[in-house]
Amino acid sequence: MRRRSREDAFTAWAGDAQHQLHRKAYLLTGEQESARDLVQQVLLSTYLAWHRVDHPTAYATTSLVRAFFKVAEQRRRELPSDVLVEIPAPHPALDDRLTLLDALAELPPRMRATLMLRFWDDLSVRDTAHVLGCSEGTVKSATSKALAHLRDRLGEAVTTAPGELR
Amino acid sequence: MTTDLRERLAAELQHLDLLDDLTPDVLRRGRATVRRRRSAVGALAAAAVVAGTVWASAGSGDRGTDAAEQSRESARQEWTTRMERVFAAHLPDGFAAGVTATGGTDRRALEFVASGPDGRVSLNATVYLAEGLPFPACAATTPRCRVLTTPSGPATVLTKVYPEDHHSYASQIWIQGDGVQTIVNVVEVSPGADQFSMDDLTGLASDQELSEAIVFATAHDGELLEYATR
Repeated sequence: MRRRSREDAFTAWAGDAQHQLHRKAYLLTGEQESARDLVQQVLLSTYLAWHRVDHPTAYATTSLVRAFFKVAEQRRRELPSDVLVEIPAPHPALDDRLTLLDALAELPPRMRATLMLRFWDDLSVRDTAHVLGCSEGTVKSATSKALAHLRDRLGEAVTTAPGELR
Repeated sequence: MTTDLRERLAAELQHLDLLDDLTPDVLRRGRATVRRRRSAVGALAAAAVVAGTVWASAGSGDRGTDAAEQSRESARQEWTTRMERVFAAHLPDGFAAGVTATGGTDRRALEFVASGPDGRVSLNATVYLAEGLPFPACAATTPRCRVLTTPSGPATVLTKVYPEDHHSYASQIWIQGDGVQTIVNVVEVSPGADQFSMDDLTGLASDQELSEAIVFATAHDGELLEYATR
């Protein structure tokens, strides 16, 4: 009976949440398959923790970001988080084809996660710092560097809130 | 020309293929994991009975859960005692003896408060396992940043983490072990006060008991999750 109740509640939540989690995972990984694997992993950990989780979506988002960092670490194909890859200026002919997702994928994992949490998930600086396990200053600094990178790559100003230009 | 970040991401994500419903597979795997865990805890309980340990509950259906809960509480108490001892041993002159545990409820990490002549100071430590946090480094050893070697590995001590004066004075000790990173926070409760010197902090970082506490937390990662480990 207890298991049934947990499964019903989890199924109702997961039905809606998995697609939103998939978008977040895709923003982090930039890859369809990796995003799917991450979502599956996070749904499983949320199911297992269901009885002690008050806010499953917040728990799943935090788990998603941490699982993503672990994957990025394991693959050892990323540079340390504070270091932006030095990318040559885009060729004008290629500029039109550059998507925001492409530019996002060029960022180090923690900067990608910072932007995803701040501007896709609409978390405050404080909540973002909590999820990332870092200081608010680190979040602000990473946000600033990441937005500057997007601006440089896209050749456009980037707004993150009504009336706010970066 | 300007780009609204969220709007443009939403537009680009429209092309993302929708997932098939992952829930049935997750439920199947979740049930299997729960069964495995129950059977592992059951085996642990049986072994303890053989060894003469008295279990809190006589209900066989709850035995595994009670064993896990008992183990978790025991690990938390041990961590609390260890860190209480470590922090109390490194309070600056003029502080009241001892520290008081606060927090430490479910999903809230254990914290301590110490009372100094210029106000209270909050202290806590968290052990991160395989998190790969970006380890801070001093560009040069300065009065505000020092690199040292501790029994657990290289460490960086940072003071005045928040440069703005209206923020409370905060210091951090980062210790880098093998796949284990520990962050100790020392934060003045009231802005303006600055009671822990660099020497106090390096003394704390170098404490053998802190190193042993980190080993303990690493060995009890699951039981101390969100309380002392992440």
